[in-house]
Amino acid sequence: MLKKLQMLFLFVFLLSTSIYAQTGTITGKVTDANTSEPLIGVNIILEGTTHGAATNFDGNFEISGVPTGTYNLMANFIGFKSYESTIEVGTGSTSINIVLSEDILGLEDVVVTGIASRSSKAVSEVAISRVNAAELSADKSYNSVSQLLTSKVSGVSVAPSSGNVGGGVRFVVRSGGGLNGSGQPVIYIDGVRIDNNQSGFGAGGQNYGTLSDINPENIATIDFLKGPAAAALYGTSGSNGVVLITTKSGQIAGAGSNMNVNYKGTIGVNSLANEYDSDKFISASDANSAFRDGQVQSHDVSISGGNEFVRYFTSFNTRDEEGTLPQNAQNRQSIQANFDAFPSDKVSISVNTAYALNTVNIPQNDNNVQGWLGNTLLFPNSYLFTDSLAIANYENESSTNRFIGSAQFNYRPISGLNINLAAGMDNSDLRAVDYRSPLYQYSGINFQGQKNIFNRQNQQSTLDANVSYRFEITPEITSNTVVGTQLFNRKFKTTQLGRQNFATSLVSDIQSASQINTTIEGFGHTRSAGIFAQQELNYDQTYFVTIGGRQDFASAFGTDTPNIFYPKASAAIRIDKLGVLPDAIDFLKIRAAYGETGILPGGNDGIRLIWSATPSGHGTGGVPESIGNPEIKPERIKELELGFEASILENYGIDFTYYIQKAEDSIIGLLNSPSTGLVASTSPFNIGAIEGSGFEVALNATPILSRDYQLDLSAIVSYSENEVTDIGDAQPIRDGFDLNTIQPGLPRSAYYTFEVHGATFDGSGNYTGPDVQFTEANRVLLGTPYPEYQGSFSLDFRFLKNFNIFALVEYQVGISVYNNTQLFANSFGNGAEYERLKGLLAGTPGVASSYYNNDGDPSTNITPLTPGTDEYINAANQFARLTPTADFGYIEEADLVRLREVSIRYDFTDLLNSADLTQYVKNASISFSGNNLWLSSKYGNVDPEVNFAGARSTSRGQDFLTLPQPRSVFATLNIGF
Amino acid sequence: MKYSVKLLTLILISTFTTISCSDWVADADDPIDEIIDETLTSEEQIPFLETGVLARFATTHDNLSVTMDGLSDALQFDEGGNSLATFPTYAELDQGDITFDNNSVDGVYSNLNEMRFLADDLIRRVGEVTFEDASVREQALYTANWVGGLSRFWLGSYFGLTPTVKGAPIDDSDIIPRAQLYTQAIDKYDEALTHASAAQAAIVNSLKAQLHIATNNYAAAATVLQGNVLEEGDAPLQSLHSLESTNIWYNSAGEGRTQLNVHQRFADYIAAEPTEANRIEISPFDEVGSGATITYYYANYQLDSPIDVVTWQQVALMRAEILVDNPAANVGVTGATALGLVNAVRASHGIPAFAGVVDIDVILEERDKELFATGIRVLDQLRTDNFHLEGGQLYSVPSSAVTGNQFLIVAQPWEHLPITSRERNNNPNFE
Repeated sequence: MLKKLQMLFLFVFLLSTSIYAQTGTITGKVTDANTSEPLIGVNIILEGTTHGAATNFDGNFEISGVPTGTYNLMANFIGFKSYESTIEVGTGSTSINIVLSEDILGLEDVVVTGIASRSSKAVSEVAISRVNAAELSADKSYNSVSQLLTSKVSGVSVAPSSGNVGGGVRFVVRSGGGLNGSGQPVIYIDGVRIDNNQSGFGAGGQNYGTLSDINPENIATIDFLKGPAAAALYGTSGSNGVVLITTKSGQIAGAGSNMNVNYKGTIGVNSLANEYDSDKFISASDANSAFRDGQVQSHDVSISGGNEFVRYFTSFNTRDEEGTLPQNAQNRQSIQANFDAFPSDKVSISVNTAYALNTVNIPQNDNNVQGWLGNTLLFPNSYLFTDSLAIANYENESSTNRFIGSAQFNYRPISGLNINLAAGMDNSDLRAVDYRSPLYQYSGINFQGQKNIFNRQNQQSTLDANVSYRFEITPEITSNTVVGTQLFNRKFKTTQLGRQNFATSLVSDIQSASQINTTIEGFGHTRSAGIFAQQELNYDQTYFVTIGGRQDFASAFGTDTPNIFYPKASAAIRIDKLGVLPDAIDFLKIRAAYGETGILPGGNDGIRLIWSATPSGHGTGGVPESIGNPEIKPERIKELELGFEASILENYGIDFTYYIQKAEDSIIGLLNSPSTGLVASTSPFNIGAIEGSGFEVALNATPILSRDYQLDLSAIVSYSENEVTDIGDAQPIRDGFDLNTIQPGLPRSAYYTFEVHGATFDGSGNYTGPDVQFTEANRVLLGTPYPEYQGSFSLDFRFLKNFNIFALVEYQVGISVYNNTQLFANSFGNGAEYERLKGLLAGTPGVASSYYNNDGDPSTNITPLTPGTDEYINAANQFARLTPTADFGYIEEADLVRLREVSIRYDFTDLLNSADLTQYVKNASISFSGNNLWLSSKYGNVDPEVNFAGARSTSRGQDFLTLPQPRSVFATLNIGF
Repeated sequence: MKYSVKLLTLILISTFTTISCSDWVADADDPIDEIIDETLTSEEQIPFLETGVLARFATTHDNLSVTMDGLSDALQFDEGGNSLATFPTYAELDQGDITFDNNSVDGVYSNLNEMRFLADDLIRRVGEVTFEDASVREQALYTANWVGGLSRFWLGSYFGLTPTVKGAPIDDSDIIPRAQLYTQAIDKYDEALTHASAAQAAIVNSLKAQLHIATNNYAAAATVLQGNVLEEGDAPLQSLHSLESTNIWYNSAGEGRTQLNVHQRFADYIAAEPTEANRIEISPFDEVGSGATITYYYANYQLDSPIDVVTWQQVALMRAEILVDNPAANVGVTGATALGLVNAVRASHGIPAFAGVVDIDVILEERDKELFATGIRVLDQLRTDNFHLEGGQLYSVPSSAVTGNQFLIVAQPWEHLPITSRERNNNPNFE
């Protein structure tokens, strides 16, 4: 036995000596094909091994301890085409120099193309949109994920509902998908489905948006799956698209360096972008005076590095930002810690964690007489409802502690077999306070102060497990089979307590208020699960076919609908590989994809009748809460997508997609007639349908590319249309202002209201009122709150090697906005033009004999026109069309062009290099950037991209005393150590 | 064989996963704040449901009373005055030019119908439960029936198909004329009496008398008043409100927010007799506003103040009115006179006795003051042909002296609230 052990040790010793004796080293340099400049941070790996390195500041790399043999060496660098070469490694040093060409069209970026699917744009069968967030945020300052995405993705509109820092955001994807749900895409961060609700206390119509918890500085890329064709395997809830956010990960540190340390500091100012006009509002100067210049500060420190076994990325960020009105502010601190481990050739483990402490303050505005705009734009004289000091001391604060974490395990036991397990959670605790001090008087609150506290605990977890097996059926045909399951679990608990009448203004703890006015406790628990399978076939990297499907289960389905199936199929052909194209076309792929997904019913839609306990002066009693339908099932959305991508002369690219969406079984709430007494809610039925279609074009060009100059141009154009085709026997569905309409034959949320034909006159020629009939037959379509065409142009110009200018211009065509601010101002004597018309008609029975002049004083200075004259008739017709009793005169065309982003940057790295300072500072740059610097719009008020009822309401495109988006300017310093 | 094993394995795994997913999603925790309808079938739950009926009665009454007083000449919408009124739906009320989509009207119409439904539904449920405690059953049936009766009285009084035709549907029926709804209300009241204590019966009988007065049916009213009705000192029937379910007057026509302000004549009443402030508590706006016109808000209702439905004072004024019409009528009080009854009511507020001759105008003015802010006023205006909105006439809003605000009254102003679009469009039997 002892002898056997001795032999074993000897064998191991010899073996290890033998291995040690047969290793070599690979060294080399990586340079840019266009500039011949060294490339820093390029990942070099030997395929199928854990050996690898990253280039250092000089572009050099070294991989030591490589067993002798033949390897496939791969070099990858974001923005460049990948490099692949066979290399013989012998004992000693083997040298190789690598030249990388820029991947101008991003064809080689590996992007997510579906659940458990990743591929490059070059072979993808579905339309792919990727935002390289890390690149964008390098020299600009974005305060949120939504700002990062704005105008960057074709077919996707990302718009805040107001100019509030930290406020809510609404995504509109393609033609809008189905009729149900919030219309919002599901968002994943590193595999975790995150909370994207609005919460806290509404201030006016606006809430704090939970997406503002996410620090955009930590994001590497954002991939967008825009519809069921790509997102079918995400199942129910994937119908409005899927946003897949990948945070930054560590890179192998270059030779001679263990880590990269980076600091990014930003200071800036938010200010009122466009002032209110005294030609529109008599009190415009009062409104403008309410605004301030809000200060912005952001500091971000990140440390990253690693080797072939472990990589890490950590960062700390603090951002303090004031909005343009007092009380609008956001303070966010966030920590990110990401680790990747590669314990063996067959196993990789990733852990991503993020913690954020986010505090958002939102002022009162919108449909509200306690807000700044409600007190300065409604009447010629300001602050009649609520004093400015009271408004300035109103407090609405939402503070969130949020942890998002995930762990991903990948095991490759045999060649081609890939086992993936991923689990993650998004847990947050929100505490919101709404406080009015007893020191001040607020309209509608004539007691000694009021305080409300709201707590929300949200816990959601995601579990993904899938297995894929890739093998060659023949040398030309490759098969990849994927099966998996996905579980999603969400629980939330809420409590709210409100008390009023404080004993003294010296304390503000809630128990110091004597009267309880609100006590609410809520709880919700939803679960969904799905199993899916997908088969991919690839013939000679030229023909690609995929079929798949998902069986979905959810706690919100009706009891009579236990589960539902969603199919998908897609195909692509690389025409450029067929040898039929002229040389100028170096890449052409055509593709087609079809998929189905759904939208869940409401949580209680499947239950026939639910009651709740309601407090009253008579005690707490039972009243109906909601009326459901046990047969309810998800709305089903089908999408067919056709498209192509092409590259011409390598520097010019086009990406085109045409799609058709059809939603059926849309859940329409049938109104019961009130006389039945069943008025607690509508009754849901799967009776609706909507169709949509559109196209998206992305053009990219790099006409200038040299060592010192590079010009990248891009243009995005998208067109979309939709039409509601069925709502069963239901009556048209309208928002609270009886304006946005869901009705067959009309676009979704169309402005459909009563037409004012002009003025009516009596026998003496006197104006007698607007010619309007408030009957259904007299409604007319006046546009939609969504643009027909939208897109952007961007320019990215590097000149004199180290200077860089970036500009992004967005545009929208065919959009309308309801100017309810002007309507109400006209109602109450603050509309300058309406008052002028009133003056021209003064003396007419039914029209005021006086009106307000531009100083806000009652006046009689305008000479009234004579009834019966053309001028009088003309003025009367204008006056009638602006009658505040109808919305007709206030639906305004709102086509716009906005200079969304501008930045200029100087990179000091060459200077540091020439001064031989790179041993201390690896890189440095300074940039100046601006957001929303210029706007041109047909719209009459200051900002058409707002909505008074927040980002989730059925009211859309309605401007009603809503805070406009700010103009922001920043200075940013980047230093790398 | 190998293929079959693979296929069988796949089927087994798929079946297992499917069942697991199905079970997993079904295992979500139940909500804590919601009650499935099928669980509300026991004696224990009846008081909970009865309180729900009263809760909806309360939220209906405050909305309905402010809405109806808005339509009457008691309140007025003045966007140019210093009450800073802004709600267009209230402006429509004040002008009698009410659209079918007026959401203030739709809200109160829905509330009233749910109140009716809950009352009727409670009677159905009581019929399906075996009670161990008969008093629980009696109390529930008393409440359900008087609320059912009152809801029908309100539907018949305050809603209509056209500006002048009153009536409303029930449970998807065609429109039921006012008289028929009143008959149903009386039937409900009579049924409530069979389950009522003596004190409760006094309330129900007073409600019956109120109904008869609304149609000037003095004979029927007198008959009821001869029985057990509310007498001096008896507690009134009120809708109760709390800080968690507030009296909407406070933020619609009160101290909190005044979309509808009090007509100038109430200030004149107080100017003529300061002690009138004991029963009509109004306050002038102290804000500067947009002009010099002083308007008033109703100051008697706080957020949690109750609102009278019927009081002994109202009963006394009913008796006085009948006696004005027929001094020999038997109104249940031996030797009662109209003057004595009016002065008893006035005395209850510390107001000096009225010394003149009590005629119908005096009665109506006393009712104007006594029943202010309860929604009754418009019924008095209509039953005495004294409705203030005259079609085609020019109306000057209170602040017109400063702002010049006037409007032309539509040719046919609404005398009650219209049945709203939601009913017209969704009731298959509505014509």
